[in-house]
Amino acid sequence: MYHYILKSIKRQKSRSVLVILVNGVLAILLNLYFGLIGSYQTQLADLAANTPIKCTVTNPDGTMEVGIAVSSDTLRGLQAARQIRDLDYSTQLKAGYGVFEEADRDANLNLDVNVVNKIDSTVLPENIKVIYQEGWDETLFAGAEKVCLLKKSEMEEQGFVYGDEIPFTIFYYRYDDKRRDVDILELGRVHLKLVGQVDDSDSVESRDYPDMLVPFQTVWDEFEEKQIEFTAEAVSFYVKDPLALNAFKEEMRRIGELGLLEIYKGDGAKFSYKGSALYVQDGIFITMAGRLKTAIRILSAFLLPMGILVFIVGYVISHLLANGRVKEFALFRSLGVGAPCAVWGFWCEQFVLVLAGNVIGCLTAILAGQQEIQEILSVCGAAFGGYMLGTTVALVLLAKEKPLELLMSE
Amino acid sequence: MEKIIEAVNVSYIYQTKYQKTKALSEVSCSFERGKVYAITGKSGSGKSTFLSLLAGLDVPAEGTLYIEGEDIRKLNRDEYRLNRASVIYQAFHLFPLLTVQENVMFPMQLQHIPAREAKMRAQEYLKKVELPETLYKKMPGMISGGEQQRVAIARAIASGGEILLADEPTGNLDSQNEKVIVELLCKLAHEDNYVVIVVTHNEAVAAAADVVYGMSDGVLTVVREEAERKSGETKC
Repeated sequence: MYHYILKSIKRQKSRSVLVILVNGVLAILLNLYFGLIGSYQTQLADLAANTPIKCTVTNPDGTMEVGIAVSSDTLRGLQAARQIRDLDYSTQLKAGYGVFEEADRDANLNLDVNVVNKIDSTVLPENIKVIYQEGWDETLFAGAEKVCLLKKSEMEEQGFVYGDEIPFTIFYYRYDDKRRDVDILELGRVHLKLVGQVDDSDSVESRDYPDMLVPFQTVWDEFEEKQIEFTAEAVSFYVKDPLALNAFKEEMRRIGELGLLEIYKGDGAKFSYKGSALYVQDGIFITMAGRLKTAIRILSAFLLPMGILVFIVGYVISHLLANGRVKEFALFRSLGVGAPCAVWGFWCEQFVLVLAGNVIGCLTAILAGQQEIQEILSVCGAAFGGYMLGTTVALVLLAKEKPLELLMSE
Repeated sequence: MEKIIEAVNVSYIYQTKYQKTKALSEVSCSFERGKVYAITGKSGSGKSTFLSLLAGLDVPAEGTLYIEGEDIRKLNRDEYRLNRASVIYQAFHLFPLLTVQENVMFPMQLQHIPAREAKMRAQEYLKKVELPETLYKKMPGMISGGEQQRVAIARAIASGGEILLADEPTGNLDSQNEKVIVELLCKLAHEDNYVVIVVTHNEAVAAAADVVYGMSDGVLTVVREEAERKSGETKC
């Protein structure tokens, strides 16, 4: 049979070229179709990477993002959250050198302390450099070491050098519900090792910036040790995967159900300075992603019809070709070739031609360079499978023909 | 003479969704090696149906058809057509994509005979049917009807079977070619011991046969036995 197939392919050039051409075009069109979906998906992924969704913990009516009180429970909930990244939190304290009583605090409490979990959490003016002692770097803010960084001018004034264990008395702020009255309460005395400096010598800005930087967890531990309620004054983070926004919001709602956080709604909320709402800046992303998702959804809806179309094309073309070869089939049968074997022969012939068409389609798509080779191969494989399925059905129907009736019809 | 085919009360019914038609009714006859049989009858009388049963393309609805004593239902009928019985058609039915020689080689290639040997034997068979060597490499469409029928006969004998079934083999030929084909079929029966069964309308073809059956409304009758050959009629 196989020598006959090869001769048939070779000698029926127009028929062979037609099948190859149809399959080549089909493979190219399918690659264009999937390429378009792929392009939209890439755009969506790029959008997710380039349009980060920032979230900020606010007070319930959304009027304050800093200077609020975000509870320890909220912080723990956010620390454990899986759908967020780059969690930043900070708080402000007051400190003074040495040991002094609360009555003497006005004279001694002269250091503004910024407590942060990342150096980026503190906003420093331009020309301000943060310099670390050898062996230390910015990762210290993520830890809980009893260390600190001081302003260079402060270091020089006090005569401190790196490695000095400096005793501080630390105070914290407590506001009333309306944030009108503030109390400054003593946290306690602590020795912090000086491991870096904030070099303000080139700064020309008059804006205030902290005299001292301390790792967040160090202070949090101190509060817990003293069993004093700890709060952060500003908390922000990014949605880990903007494409999984619903999962993110669900996670935030779960934290909300624990009485920690609610997605920010704004209007109608009662003023408080408690950090118990979340402002999610997802408007731009949702608008842009929505358009892309709609385009992908519409195109994907054609996936099944496209598959059916390929099958129908395979069936119709094979059926028409088979109709033209009914007598050939009957002749095979009359010469003693079994029906399955005769159908197999025709099927193999189509297989070779369809494969050749798909290879041409694949190569064209690869040369166009718009898609990954693996993706192109998958698409061509699907086109090949769909077409051959149609061919198989057409040829199985051909096998039902009665051979002698066809040969004796003339 | 040895009976190679025997039909015992063979009936066949064409069944469609709406009706049943009895195409053959209790046909009983036998066919021996070395003889030419003609089955005559009007169109629709059932002779081609009987030929399709003899070719193993279908099986009787009732009765039994024996091939060398074996019920055809129990035979592998594809193998039977491949190795033992060949059909020659009115419209020749050569493979249009194969050359004359390749057409004759085809059944041998199905029998897995090596290409070189198949080619040699094909040339031998083509010589036997007296086809000019210059036509061996031609495509079937490029040769005459008589030549095509000779190629079909060569292909039939190439399968190596002893049963030659012919459906109106001279129906598309002029009288000169008709004579050549009839002589060829007779020669195969009488010299090479084939059993040749010819379905025909043609009286000349029937006259050349050793035995003539008539078919009418599915009923087979003996028109002429071998012994009844008229005086003056010579065995071809």
